[in-house]
Amino acid sequence: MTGYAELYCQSNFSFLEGASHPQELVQQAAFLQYSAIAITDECSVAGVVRAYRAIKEQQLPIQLIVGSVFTLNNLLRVVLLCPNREGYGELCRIITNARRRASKGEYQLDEWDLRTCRHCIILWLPSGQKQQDDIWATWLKKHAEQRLWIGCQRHLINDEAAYITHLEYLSAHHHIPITACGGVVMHTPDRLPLQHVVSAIKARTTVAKLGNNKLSNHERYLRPLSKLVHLYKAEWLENSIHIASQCRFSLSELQYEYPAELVPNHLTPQQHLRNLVVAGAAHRFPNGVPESIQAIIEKELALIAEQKYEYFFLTIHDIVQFAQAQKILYQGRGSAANSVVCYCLYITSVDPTQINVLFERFISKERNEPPDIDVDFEHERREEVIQYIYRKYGRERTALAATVSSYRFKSAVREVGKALGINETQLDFYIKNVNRRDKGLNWQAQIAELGLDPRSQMGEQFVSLVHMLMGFPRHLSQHVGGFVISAGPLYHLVPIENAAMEARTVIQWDKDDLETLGLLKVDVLALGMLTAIRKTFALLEKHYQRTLTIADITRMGDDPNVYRMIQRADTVGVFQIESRAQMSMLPRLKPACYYDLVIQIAIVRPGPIQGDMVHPFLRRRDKKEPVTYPSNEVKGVLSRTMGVPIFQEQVIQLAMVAAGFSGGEADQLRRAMASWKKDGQLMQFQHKLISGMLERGYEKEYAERIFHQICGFGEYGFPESHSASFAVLAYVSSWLKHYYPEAFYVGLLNSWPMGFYAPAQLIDDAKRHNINVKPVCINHSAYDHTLEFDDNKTAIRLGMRIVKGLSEHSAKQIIEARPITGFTSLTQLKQLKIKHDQLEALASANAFQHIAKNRFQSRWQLMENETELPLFQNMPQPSTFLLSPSQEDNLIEDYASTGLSLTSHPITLLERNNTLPHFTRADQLHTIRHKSVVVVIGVVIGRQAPGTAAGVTFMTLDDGTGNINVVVWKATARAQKKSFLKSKIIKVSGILERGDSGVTHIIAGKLTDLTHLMKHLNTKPRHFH
Amino acid sequence: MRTLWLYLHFPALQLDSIYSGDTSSQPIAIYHPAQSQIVQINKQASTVGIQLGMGLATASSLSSELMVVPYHAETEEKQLYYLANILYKVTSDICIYPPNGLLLRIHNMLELYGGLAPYWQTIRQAIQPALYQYSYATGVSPLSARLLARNQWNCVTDQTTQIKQALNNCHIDSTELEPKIKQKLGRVGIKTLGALLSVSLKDLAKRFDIELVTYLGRVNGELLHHSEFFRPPEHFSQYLELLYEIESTDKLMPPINRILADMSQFLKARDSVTDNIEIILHQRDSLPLTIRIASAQAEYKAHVWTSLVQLKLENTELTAPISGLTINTGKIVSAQPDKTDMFEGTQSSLSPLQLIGLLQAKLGEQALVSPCIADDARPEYASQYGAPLAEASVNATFNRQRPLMLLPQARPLTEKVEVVYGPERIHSGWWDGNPICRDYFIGRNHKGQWLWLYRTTQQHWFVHGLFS
Repeated sequence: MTGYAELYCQSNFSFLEGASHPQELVQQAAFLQYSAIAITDECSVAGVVRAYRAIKEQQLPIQLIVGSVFTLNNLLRVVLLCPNREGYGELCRIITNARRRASKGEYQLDEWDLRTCRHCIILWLPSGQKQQDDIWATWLKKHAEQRLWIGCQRHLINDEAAYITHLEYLSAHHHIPITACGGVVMHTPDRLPLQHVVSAIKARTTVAKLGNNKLSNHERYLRPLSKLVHLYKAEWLENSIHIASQCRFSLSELQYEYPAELVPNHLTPQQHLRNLVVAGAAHRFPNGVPESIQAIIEKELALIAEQKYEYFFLTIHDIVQFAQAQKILYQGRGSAANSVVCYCLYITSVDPTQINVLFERFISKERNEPPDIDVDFEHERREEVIQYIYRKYGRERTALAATVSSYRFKSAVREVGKALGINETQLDFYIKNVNRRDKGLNWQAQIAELGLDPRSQMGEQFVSLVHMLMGFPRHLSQHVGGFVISAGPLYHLVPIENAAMEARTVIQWDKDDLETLGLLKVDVLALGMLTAIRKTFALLEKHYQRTLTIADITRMGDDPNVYRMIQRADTVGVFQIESRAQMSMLPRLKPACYYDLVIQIAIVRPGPIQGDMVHPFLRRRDKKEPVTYPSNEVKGVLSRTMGVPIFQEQVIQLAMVAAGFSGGEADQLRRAMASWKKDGQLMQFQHKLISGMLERGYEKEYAERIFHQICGFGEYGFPESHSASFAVLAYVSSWLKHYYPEAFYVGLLNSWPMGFYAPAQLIDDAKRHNINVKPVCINHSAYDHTLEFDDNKTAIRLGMRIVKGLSEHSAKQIIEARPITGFTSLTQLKQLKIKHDQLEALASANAFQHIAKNRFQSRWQLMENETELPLFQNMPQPSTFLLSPSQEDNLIEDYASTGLSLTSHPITLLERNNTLPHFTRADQLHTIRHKSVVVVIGVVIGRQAPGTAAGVTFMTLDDGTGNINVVVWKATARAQKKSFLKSKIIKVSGILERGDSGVTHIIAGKLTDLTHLMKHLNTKPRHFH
Repeated sequence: MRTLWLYLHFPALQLDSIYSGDTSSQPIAIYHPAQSQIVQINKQASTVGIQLGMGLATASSLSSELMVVPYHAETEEKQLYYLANILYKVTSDICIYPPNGLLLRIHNMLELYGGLAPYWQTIRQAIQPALYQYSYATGVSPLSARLLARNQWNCVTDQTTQIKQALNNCHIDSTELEPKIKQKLGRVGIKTLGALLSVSLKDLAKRFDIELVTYLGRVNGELLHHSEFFRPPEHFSQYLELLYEIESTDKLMPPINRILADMSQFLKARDSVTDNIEIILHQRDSLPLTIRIASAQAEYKAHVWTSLVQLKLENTELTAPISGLTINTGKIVSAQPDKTDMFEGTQSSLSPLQLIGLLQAKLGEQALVSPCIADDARPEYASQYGAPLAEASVNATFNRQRPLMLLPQARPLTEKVEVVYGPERIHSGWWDGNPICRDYFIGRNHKGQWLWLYRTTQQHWFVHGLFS
């Protein structure tokens, strides 16, 4: 029986047209024993790498052809296939040009693109109109004589016989051979409903209303050879194989071609790298490099040379050199970052003499993966780094990696529902009331509970279509900071499209695709805490004549004073360990050294919590449970974390040593864990993992527990290397908070927005540390927050940046024009030619309290238009405006203008007005007995739902005397949803629980919203999940 | 004499106007989808704890019997016109303030009624039967009356000092100033209208746009506020929303009779009659169903129309539940003694619509249909019969081989045919429970007839149509 190669096939990366994933298509084609399949999405190669990976991983006996389908001006439709590397380069160029000509998501092909195409094979899909087709046939023949074919599709539609006859006429008349092709949009016929649904979504209508504008039958699927033989002439089927045999290009041919300018002409990359490392080591170890370190350096350099990763490190070194020169704070993190080479290259500041325990694990040859390094930069200055990269390499040679946004539960429900004509209010109802984190009940069961009958035809179809659509790509958007840099023009390697952001371009592949092909990307990310640390360092230099770097602080070793502060959970403002969830764990875990911090950061996350690892860890650490290992291999992996898997790497290592996963399989597992939420592929590994462990003699219960932990990890598992880098910053910020608190708070406040807390809470914390905080003053404040020194005490002066509605420009204008002795009247300010609303903002913030009556008066005065004219300046105006603010008014205006109040607190005010029932203050909670009933009232400053199994939310209240931790269980939250979600001031009646480490929580019983008591209070609680 | 205005504010107009039959113990709530909150509730709903501003999920969790109806501003506006019609009998100057307010200019009516109190009594009695909740107030200007009524002052007086004091106490938030202006006023501590009015207009003008000054002037009555007065319509058209969907025609009569009674009043007041009416049945998820009823003789009496409607409805089958009714009259003519009999002498020419209405009344709705095309791949749904003279919703650009005549029911193929064209495969209809999976062919039998055939997945052959 003759074979067949499918040459025209679209995946779901032809957005809202294809109804199957690329992997599904190649799997099915292989199963049907096609000899080859081309993935030819519309003006895109975004899906080919997934197809390539599927073939590689499952070793499918099928050839992959890369191509793309295009429509020119609605007249000509062609498929371009890549026979070789040059053809591929051409295709990328054509796609890039077509996409660049149009706005995001669209493309505009030009005749020129096809005319200049010299290598690609062209499959012409004639329209059927005789005149048009004759013209195009001549044109195509002229430009692509030897590479031109007519693609014949048979979809059993109306009057197809006439169309086939027409094709045969074209072929005979113009001497263009015909090949069979499928025009495939789905891998099996039962995807037809889904294909109709995505067509309806694209047309923004319902399936029923599409009428005849949708496929009339399911023939556009991958058909078995037995059928094809009946549909096409044998010669046409043979031609498809013939064409496939000419397409020898494989994606594995794509090599990463490095930017050559990084290495001076007379040196090899290895030599240059070695030189840099040696020079760096001399600086890092001024007393000479210890022998053990030198050995590690040699080992690492050898590994780098073997894997040919020199350019990768050189590229990153170049970028951080720029940052250093510009005094931009940065930190590298990732598996390869915590290495001595990176320390010597100044990519990281993790001092190896402190942390050598980690290095062995980080460059893993077995995984055969490109090294993974993210570099965090100060968030305010990251853009400078990005511009440097664009300047140095040019827009042709660098672009951002893409992120594929896919349909998730909510969007799938909404779009499928609309396509099926289900009422939108009904859909909103389902979406609002399905809890995706509910472990007991999956979403299908929950929807059935909400009223959709799963046995009804509509119900069944709805559920099945939603399930299929979840995980389908919707569009490409730009990755946060992943840059691909190449030697020659990037579009020889991969097509580039316009991103939504101005002047940004994005490649069509995402980071997984890049990894599969072995192409390297550099992640340039932003971190607020780096900005805060740099600003604090600047203050230390200015006011205390002390010059410090991150490395200096880590070199000092573990300071017990700092760790004592951490153990007390006095960590508001500290990187990574300031959230409520973290703060309630600190007194229990009591980190006392650097590695403890590494564990602390990784363990208080949804992954370990959901995987039920936290409690076993604590019990073992507190010696309440013996630490046992079922085997030595497991001990090797888990001994540093008491036998409990906490880090993502540990899970992967377990899969390899305990279940016998190969490096590649472990990779797949890691990827499945990362995309668990999107397409639930994790379950496939259950059998392999458990049986693998059983084979090696582990107990079934242990194996199942490990799998359960892996599922809980899901996409939240935190890599040890990242945790290690974060722990450095956590320690440094704690050190700064302990020794230079005033400067630290000012550094944080001047870097906001960042971190877990709003300025109001940071200032509250400062006040609790007995730091004087002075209000915004027209005569004393700078734009930034500053330190003020009066008789040996350091105070914080709030800067004008905290005033809402005041621009930096206006503030700086005022400060420049400020006389040395200060402003004395509002009139002086009005003369400055600054817009009214800017001055009014300052008035409402009470910045004029020393030069005007009260803020209502000053604001009123500043609102006036007339007195600016010189003529009116000296005319006395009797004012009819006589209002002055009450205490409540002052509080409300404080919050409205700055988001905080230094003088009064809402709760204190309400209490003074006798509007509150009896309650207990935060600073009195220590007098309440464990397990007794208590009533607390406070302003809600944060809600954190760490995604635990039980659906618990931590709520933080502030009542002016301290913070109160409230725990709201799911049932409570559900029953009193409105109070829970919307209150700004809330009363909680509940049971006080005090753990043995002293951490106090109120388990919420009744929640009462008291926001109405204080109308217009402008506190916005921050929400975290 | 100073001008005096009276404003009536109906906070739950849509809810109050729903026809609920005798299920008056039901908790009902009106839900505004765009604002995502409950905006109107009845007494039973508030008893079970439902409050205004609540979300849908919370409200439904408080009562399993709760009926939720989506908010429609147009329904409320129609009710205002209904009320205006009623009030027009007792007072002449009415302005409509959609969606839920009526303004009456009353100072020129007071002499007629001999004072404010008797006038107010009359107004109350006129709207009492409708049983709508409302709040009310008088004012020296339209805006002041509206402001006070919406603030539930519920006081009718012509004492300007009293009115001024009430105005002074109004909070700025309850005025109709732009939110931006309200915010600006809040930021300088001006919270009440009184505080605002105590500041000189000159000072205000220096700081705010002309809108604020204009608004204040209008509230004070210093500036004229142009109002458009209501004129009773030429035609009767009334909409009634049903609380429960009605699925059988016999249950439709009570609400229809309600409207017919109003129609009768309307006609009587104008001394007019009509000879045809149109009843529109609003169906959920379908186009509304229109029934036209013509009477041989122009009529205004409700009971005559009732019997005609009843007769008509007996022959009408409902395909979907009805959620609302509208009745429109056709051309209204003044009542005149009827001189001619329809069946005697020369006939007056009837318009096509009238003819259709007549025929349908006599022969039944099914007897009159017009064919039209529908956009569906399934042959049996591609051409449909629709309402007479209805226009198709899709343009027919057909280049498909289709038979001239489609058999109403495909019959099994029993003879030998020579298959010439095909197959054309059609898979469609999975979404509405009528899926088809067929391969269509064109074949010729020994008689020379061209037949449109199809073969099912079970390999059964059928004849579906004939070519000419």
